[in-house]
Amino acid sequence: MRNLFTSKNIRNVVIGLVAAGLVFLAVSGYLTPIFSFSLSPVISGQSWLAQRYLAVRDFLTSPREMATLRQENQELRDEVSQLQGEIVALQENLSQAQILYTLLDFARSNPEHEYVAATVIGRDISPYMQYMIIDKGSNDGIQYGMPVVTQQGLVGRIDAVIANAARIRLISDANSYVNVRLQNADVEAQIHGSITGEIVLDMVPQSANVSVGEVLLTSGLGGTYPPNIFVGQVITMQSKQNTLFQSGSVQAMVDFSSVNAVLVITNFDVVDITPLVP
Amino acid sequence: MLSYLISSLGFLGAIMLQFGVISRTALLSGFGDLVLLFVAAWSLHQNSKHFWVLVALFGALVGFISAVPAFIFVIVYLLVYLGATAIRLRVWQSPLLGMFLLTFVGTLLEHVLLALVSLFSGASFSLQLAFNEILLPSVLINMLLAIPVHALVQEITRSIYPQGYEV
Repeated sequence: MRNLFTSKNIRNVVIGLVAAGLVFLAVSGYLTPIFSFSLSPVISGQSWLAQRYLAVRDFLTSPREMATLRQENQELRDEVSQLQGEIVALQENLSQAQILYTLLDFARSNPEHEYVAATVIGRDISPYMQYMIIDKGSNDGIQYGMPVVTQQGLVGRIDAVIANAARIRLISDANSYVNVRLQNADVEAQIHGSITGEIVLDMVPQSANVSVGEVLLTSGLGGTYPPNIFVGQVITMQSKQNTLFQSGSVQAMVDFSSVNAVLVITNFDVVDITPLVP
Repeated sequence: MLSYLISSLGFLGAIMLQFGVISRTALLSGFGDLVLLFVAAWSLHQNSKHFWVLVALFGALVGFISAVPAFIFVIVYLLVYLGATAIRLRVWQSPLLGMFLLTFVGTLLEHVLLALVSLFSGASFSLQLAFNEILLPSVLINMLLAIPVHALVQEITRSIYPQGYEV
């Protein structure tokens, strides 16, 4: 046993015991407050450093992200615009299809006639004349004088035709005359248009009792229109004692300002009575 | 040649817009005449020698599409062209005033001729109705449309005629 308790050995043992004690205390959790207290400045410093680093990194990288986001935003906007355009186109197609379905229903319910459906593509440039232009012409079998209707009633007749288009003279035109029959009064009369598009009922006998709301149908007289097509309703009537006939105003069944599609009756033979006119 | 091409395209665009849109947008029973406005505006700013040939040709085309006799539009548009030429030579500093003057006089002239055609065709015609329901609204619409049409045509002609007449 030679000199085990030297100062060096004692120091090592003390250090070992202190270390073991610290490890034991640390494992037991008794040193946590001390660690927390002593590490808090380090953690604060680390947080400050990390925040500054993130700020610098964001500063350096954000322009690229902004550009990317803007590009994505623009792409999405373009896509939205494209989709909105498709929606509008689909809605237009749906509207057109609904109109055509309605016309088809009308054609099915009136099988005595043959029809050609056409889209209205324009109105006449003269405000004194009531004409429409449609996208079907002689290539589709349309000829001069053919009657034109919608599911609501009479529109007019073909006035001029070229290969792929035709012009319709509306019944509201000032030079348009239609022989009509008052449905309930069982009286025949005549309507004609005016320069402003209003329709005038004329040639109603004084003896006839015509009430407001009376429905007008084509009579077929004159051979220019087929009989029994709805024309309009009587709005007002005037009866003067010094005239031969009563007159009145008529509301057309068809709203000419909003007509988008029409049916041309192609199997109606127009009777030309010009040679009989004195 | 480029000016004739561009003015022809302008004529076609104006005619299509007229028959497809303007004629279906009525105020009371009147509506504007975009082709007349185009003729007036282009005539005020153009520098082509034979522009009147285009005016006559497209006036005849309008008349062919319309139920109105073709010569009516040929006459009206050529008179508007002549008026624009006279105005350009005299009061060239204020083309917008010239445009308003041409629009007003041209619309009146056009409606007088259209009313006469309607009258002679045997239609029942009421002068008061024509004045209140058709002529006045048409003049108003044309005067309103004259400003954008003039501005648009002025911009186009500036690019075609670098040494243009307008100031």
